[in-house]
Amino acid sequence: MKSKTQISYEEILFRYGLSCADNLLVLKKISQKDYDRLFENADKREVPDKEFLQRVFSAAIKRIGEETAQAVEKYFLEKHNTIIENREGDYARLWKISPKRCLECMAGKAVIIGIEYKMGVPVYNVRYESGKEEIAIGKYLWDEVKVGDTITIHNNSAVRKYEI
Amino acid sequence: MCLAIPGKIIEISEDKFIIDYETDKRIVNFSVINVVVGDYVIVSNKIIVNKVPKEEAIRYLEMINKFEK
Repeated sequence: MKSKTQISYEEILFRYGLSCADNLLVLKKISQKDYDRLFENADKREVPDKEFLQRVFSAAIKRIGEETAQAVEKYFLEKHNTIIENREGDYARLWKISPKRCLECMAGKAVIIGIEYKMGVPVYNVRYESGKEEIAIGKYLWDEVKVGDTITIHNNSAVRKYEI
Repeated sequence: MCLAIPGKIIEISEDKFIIDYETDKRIVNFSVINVVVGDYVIVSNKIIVNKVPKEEAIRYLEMINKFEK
């Protein structure tokens, strides 16, 4: 298991970005070929090269700036969420229709309070600091986790074990 | 923008769910929630993870389509 300090820039970018790949495909922001490549890599637990990741997740890359794992995580857990919370840009109109969908896009930390498996895929029952309870899918969570551990979540998918 | 996009399930068979996104149709092989044809759902990492109320999904998609034009 990798600790917070050991994870590479590419790997953390891959983990956070992957959970948005389905939406990017529907919005035609990425090609089917790139989408397939992302999941081929994920299924093999291989991290794609930096150039590929930066091209596929170019919108986030522009906002992240610094090429470090810390900068990627800070972006997703802070700035990315602030944009949504502050209802900046198009989020203002989307928020009026569905705050829940907007909040679903936010990345966050939550404690695992239960684990069940559905066709071999871990489904975590998690509790956020706010007390809200949700599920998070662990298909591409590469870390070993147990009840009581804190994980980060993006778009309903577990991203990684959060080492406090 | 980071957006969770709802799609409508138009067909369910033993091992696949066909989801209509208006601009495209996609096949997903797994759902962690109970769904039926006609439901609007959110997919993450190739898995159906959430249902969205129909009216909300329709309004949300209309808004997203406006952004994309």
